[in-house]
Amino acid sequence: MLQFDKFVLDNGLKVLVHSDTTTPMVTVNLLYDVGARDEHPERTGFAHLFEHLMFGGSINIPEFDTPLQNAGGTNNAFTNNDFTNYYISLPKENLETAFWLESDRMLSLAFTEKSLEVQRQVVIEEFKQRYLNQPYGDLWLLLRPLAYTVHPYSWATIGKDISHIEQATMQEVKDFFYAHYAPNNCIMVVAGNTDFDTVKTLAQKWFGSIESRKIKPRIYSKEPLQTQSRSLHVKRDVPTNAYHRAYHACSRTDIDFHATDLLSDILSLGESARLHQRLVKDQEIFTDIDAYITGSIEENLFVFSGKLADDVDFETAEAALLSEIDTICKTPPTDDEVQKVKNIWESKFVFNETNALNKAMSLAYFELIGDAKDYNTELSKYQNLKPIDIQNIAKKIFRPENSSTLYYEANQNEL
Amino acid sequence: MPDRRTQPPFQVVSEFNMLKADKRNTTNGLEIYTFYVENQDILKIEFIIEAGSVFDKNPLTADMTNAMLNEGTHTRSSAQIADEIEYFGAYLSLNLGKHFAYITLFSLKKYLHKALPVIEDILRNANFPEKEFEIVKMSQFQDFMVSRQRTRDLAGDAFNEHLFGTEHPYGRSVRESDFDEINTNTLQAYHHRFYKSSKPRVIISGAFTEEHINLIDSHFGDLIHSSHLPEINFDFSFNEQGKTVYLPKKDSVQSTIIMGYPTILKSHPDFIPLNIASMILGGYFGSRLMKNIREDKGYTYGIYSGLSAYRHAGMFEIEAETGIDVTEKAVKEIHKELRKMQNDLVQTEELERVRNYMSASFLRRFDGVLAASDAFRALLLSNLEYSYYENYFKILKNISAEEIREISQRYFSPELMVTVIAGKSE
Repeated sequence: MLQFDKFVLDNGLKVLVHSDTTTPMVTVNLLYDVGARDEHPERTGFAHLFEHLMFGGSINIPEFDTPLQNAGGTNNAFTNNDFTNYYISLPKENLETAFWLESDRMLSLAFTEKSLEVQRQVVIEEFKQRYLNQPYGDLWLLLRPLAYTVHPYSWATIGKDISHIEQATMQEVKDFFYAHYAPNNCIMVVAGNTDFDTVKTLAQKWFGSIESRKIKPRIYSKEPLQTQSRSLHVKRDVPTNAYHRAYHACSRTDIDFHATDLLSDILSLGESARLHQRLVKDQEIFTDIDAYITGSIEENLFVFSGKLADDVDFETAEAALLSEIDTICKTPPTDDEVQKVKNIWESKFVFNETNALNKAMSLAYFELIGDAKDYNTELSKYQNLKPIDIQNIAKKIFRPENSSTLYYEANQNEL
Repeated sequence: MPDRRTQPPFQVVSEFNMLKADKRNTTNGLEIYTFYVENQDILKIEFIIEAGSVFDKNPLTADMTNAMLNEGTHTRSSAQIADEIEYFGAYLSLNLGKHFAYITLFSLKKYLHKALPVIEDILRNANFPEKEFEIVKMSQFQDFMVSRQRTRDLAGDAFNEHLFGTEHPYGRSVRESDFDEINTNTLQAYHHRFYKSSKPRVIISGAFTEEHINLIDSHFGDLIHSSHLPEINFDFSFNEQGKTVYLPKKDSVQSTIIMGYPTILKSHPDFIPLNIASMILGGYFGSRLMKNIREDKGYTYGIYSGLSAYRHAGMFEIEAETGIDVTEKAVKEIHKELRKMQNDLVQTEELERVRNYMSASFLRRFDGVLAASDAFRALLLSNLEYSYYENYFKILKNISAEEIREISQRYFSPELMVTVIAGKSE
């Protein structure tokens, strides 16, 4: 049970406080409700580029990191398709420095040309390091647009193409800031060695005077129901053939979400799971096979990703996987299989609560998708599921016409 | 309105609460170290065994032996082991270092008694079935071939080889031919020698009870520490000072640069001051390398410098991935920053910043039993005492700009180092 209290400032900033006096540290986590799905299709990668610019100095503070390091703090951030998350961890005595820094960059950035030029280069190097200079690094750049035809989930957070980053202008940076960065588009969680009154006083002092802003509404099309299976075949200089198959699945807030999540666990969580046991160990079709959901807020993908064993062709591998999919659609998982993944979830929840940052991010995320209180009933939503629920979800998702398949073939020469 | 231009008053960490291990004396003489905390119902138990990769000519032998511990015993199949561990929500990780093997179990307190017998069984009775061996070997071989496509891995392997020599236990990288030379017999023999009869050192963290301690003792305490570790020659001579090694890779859009050399051990009096100097150079986000090469020039997504220490050799290294077109420029800037460390005194403001930043890291190092047990393990495996951290903190608080320059002059000359560049061609 994760205890917390919540208040909302007049400008719309939501603040959650979780006290834990066993640690000498405190974590301040700010989640902004803006991600790659809010980008213009011709400026993809922008939300992530923007995250970099958030460290390039704000209106009153020329450098973000230096004063934080002076106060013994560390920080980082990440962007995904749905939201952007920033966090600071520092000794409890220095909590106010975090409020000072975060409130100033919420008020306004410095918007210097130098910062834009340098971070543009840094992000281009990040694009190369993580997506282009890695074997299989372009997987999501291929699979997303195959599975999503109109929804902005069709591009990865890094963007569709380096040229989009290269073309970003300062005016676009400013417009993006004022359209998405605002107290009324942010959830702040303070977790660690502090208390409600301290946080309330500091929040009022540093964030209270920032005016709420008009947030750009999300106007994009829902992904239409897929009625025909799709596939893409690529050849790359990689050592091993890889197979990916994605099905459209429900959103994070859908009543079916937890059963969908457990379905992926039944199939592939741990070495005892059936895909590993049957397709890797018994049949030696794959050397590695995983089933997972992408974890987005809107309609997810349920993905199978596998590396083929040497001398196994795509046709054989696909048939073996489809046979397993067919099995789970026809027969519910055993009680033992279901109990096992429930036990693993219990461990995960207990382990998550050993870490202040995890706790802070969990509360912010649950507040974003509904209500932070739901974090405390989340485990029971898994524990109440029955084998038949898992089978029903499998039947619902695993329809051939709902699938997109990526055959990632290894070039035979070149290596 | 608050004053937004001035940083609110802050405190510098002047002391830290060192959360120390309790050493338990068990009836069987097993070394158990404990970190107790109320309300943490997930227990972490580490079993540490001296079975690392240095003990065999073929580094794959130790690696595969470790990776296959859970692939079958005389009485349990691979599937049964996975099931027994995972059914109760436990998680088992198997890792290997140069000297040690780490078998780490995370388990809910209430189910620990279910997982322990399995751990005991794999340590004593792993039997390396042929079928599982072929499966694991193919998977590892595929991973190896993928790593041959990564400039980071190519550069890392070459760097170790150039530091210590291609046959030295610290320099020897896995080669394609190594896969042909292992079989289930070599693994079984390795297991027999290094796992079966060795008494693991155990570190347990969480809300354990005396019953758990007794349980661990009863499962692992009567293993007899009989085998003597083989004599390994760790001598090496490094002769590549000032050289640059190119490992071109066709169509690579980035290069990995690794620059460094073998240097002092953790026990050397300069080790801590050198660590602090390396922090200023490239050890944190505000470091000189990061500020210059990432935040000013945009040549890289990240650049770091640091010291690492094996038992018998220390290493200093600088590492970055940069665009092909700016690789040479990045190397030039690295040299410039090394020279600056040697020629100029670090300004008070920067030195204080690093002091403050590193002082707070001591709070993090002991924040909670999981962090504190990691800090302890590092001491234990380097044969150091808690006084190491006390001493470190004291040096951090007192080190002067002159001392940092002096240390830099001694250890940061680019002429001392070898530079490996994987990706772009010469």
